Amino acid sequence: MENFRLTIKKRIYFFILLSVIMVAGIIMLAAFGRANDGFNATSGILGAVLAIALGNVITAKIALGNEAKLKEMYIKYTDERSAQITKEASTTTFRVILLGLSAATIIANFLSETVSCTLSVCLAFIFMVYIAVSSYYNRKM
Amino acid sequence: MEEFRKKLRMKIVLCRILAVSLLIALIVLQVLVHRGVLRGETNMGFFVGGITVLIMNIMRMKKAVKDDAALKQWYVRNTDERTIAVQQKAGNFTSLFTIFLLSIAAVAASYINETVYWTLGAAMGVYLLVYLGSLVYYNKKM
Repeated sequence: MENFRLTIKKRIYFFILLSVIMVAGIIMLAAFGRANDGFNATSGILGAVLAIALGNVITAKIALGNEAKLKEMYIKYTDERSAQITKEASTTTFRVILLGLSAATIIANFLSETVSCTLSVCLAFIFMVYIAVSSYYNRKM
Repeated sequence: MEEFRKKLRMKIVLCRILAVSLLIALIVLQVLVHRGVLRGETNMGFFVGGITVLIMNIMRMKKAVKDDAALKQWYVRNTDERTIAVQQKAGNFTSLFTIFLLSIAAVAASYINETVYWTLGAAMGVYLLVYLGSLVYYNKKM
């Protein structure tokens, strides 16, 4: 359990660092980038990441102060069923998205070349990452 | 092993149906484009690539169904826990990495091209929805 406590502390430091970076980004964006086209998109994504990071910091801090919550968190993190569910969900998502992106690329080709190109690049990139990661795990495992 | 052979036969039938559907879709799209109903080009690469992969798979599976040694090899490859674990880990990492990079790409694209930004945003949204849906499904199933 002590090891897990240490892991949680490291997580808190990581999320605090992430929050600081996001806040700095938002401040800089508000100061210099208001006129840019992408202001709304960037500030929205930075804000979402900041909210997630702060949520994680608060949850971890509560768990560190309360033994029962820490135990609950430990069980949640080490539960094999949860890990298996996450892996299965990711693998299924990956397959569905590959099929969906292929179909969307074909359809978009008739509507907008830009959209079709964007989706094709996404698809190619996902394939490349998957092949690279597969070969990495094939060597590692 | 007989059950696995049956499964393989079923897979061959499914692959055949898929290959024929792709071929029909390609022909229909080509006809519609030539008649001027649809504007743009049919993405031949996708269809030809898909059909080729399916035909190669059908041929390999047919060989496995006929030849006992090839079937055994196919069975080992498909039920090997290491291979399954590698696929799951790779899929897991690729999913998370893709969501992360899609969001960065969407932010970058928002300064360059609005169409690309909306396309990436929509892809990210669909990705998250499918992921959440899968999580709920597997939470109930497992």
